[in-house]
Amino acid sequence: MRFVGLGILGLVVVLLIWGFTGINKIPTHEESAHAAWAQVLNQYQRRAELVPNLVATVKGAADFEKSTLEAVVQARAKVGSMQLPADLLTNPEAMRAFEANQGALTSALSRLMVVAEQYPNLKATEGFQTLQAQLEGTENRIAVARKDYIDAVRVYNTELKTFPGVVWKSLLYADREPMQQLQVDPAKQEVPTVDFGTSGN
Amino acid sequence: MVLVSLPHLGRDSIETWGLTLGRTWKIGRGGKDDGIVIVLAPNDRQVRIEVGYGLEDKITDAVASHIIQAYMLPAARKGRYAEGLTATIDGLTKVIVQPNALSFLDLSLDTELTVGLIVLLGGFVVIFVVVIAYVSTFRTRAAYPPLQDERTTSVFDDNQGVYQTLQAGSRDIRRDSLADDWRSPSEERGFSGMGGSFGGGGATGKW
Repeated sequence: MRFVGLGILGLVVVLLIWGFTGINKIPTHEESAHAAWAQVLNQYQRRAELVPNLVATVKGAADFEKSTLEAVVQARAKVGSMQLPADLLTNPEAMRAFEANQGALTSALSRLMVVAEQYPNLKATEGFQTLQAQLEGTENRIAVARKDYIDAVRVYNTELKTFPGVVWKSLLYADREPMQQLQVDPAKQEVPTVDFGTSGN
Repeated sequence: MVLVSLPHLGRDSIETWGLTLGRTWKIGRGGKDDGIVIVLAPNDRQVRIEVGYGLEDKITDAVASHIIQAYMLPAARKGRYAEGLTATIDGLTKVIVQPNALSFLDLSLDTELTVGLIVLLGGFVVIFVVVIAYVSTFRTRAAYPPLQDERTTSVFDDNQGVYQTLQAGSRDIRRDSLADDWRSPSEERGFSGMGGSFGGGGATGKW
């Protein structure tokens, strides 16, 4: 019986040591996920700042399709007026709204670029080419930032749910909730459809 | 600065290749993250300049795009890749040394000046040439071939500022895509820098 008792004690000690090595993991991974999220916001912000320039440049092109331009301006305004709640990352509703608004701007912008293909004079200007390069670059950075966030959240959420993280969560970090995961960019899956004036006007 | 030539992109976009190679090979100097990866995929008719964080202010996406449009694509359309790449590297080097020095309309290159600049840069610009070749043809489950460094590559060691020669080995990798199982070549081949912070900056060109 004594050996069994010692054995159990030994096991407990081993588990404790194992557990202690992970005591900082939850806050560490949380910080990484927050940093990755900050980068996502940063890149979206960068895109939002490009839009006014882009709109101004495109407006200069003779009779550029109004509805396309309008859609971009509206989507941009919506993104700009969006209030981000403090618990955005753990709040599924808020995250969905954020995604919907940013996604709307993504598709409005990609549609704008598709329509711009029809305006050779506009495409030839250096200003437009520069903006196009910046926009493409920013969309790529957004994709990268989103992927980094997805990876960081996966690590964090896994830590919350697996041993020994789950023990530390119940002991010290009971208020931590899993963060919301992002979907793979929906805008990349749908090809914008373009209707060139067949509907009249 | 690392130059990678890929016979096929496979399932991954050229942006993914640039980013993943830059990060796994830790291109650039530690703390400065001034790495550049140039990915050329002749058969997919694409080229990408991937720019590390530390150079993003000098080589903005627009600058990278202009360099591709002005220097790489005209040559690439004629199949003269080496010429295009040389001009691209020249262009990038000039911009790094003298931001705003690049006149995008001036397509003629002062080669002597550029060679001088590269020598001047010494420990600053590291040029590796990596050739990744497929042995087998690309299928749905692609059998990626030995990753070969087909030549002995001369490089500037960016931390010591000395000119040295790297003899890289070759190895087998079999995988479907640039997924997590991509093992860092640095662990196996002594091919690595100290940087590696890439955030997707740069530009892609297609022809």
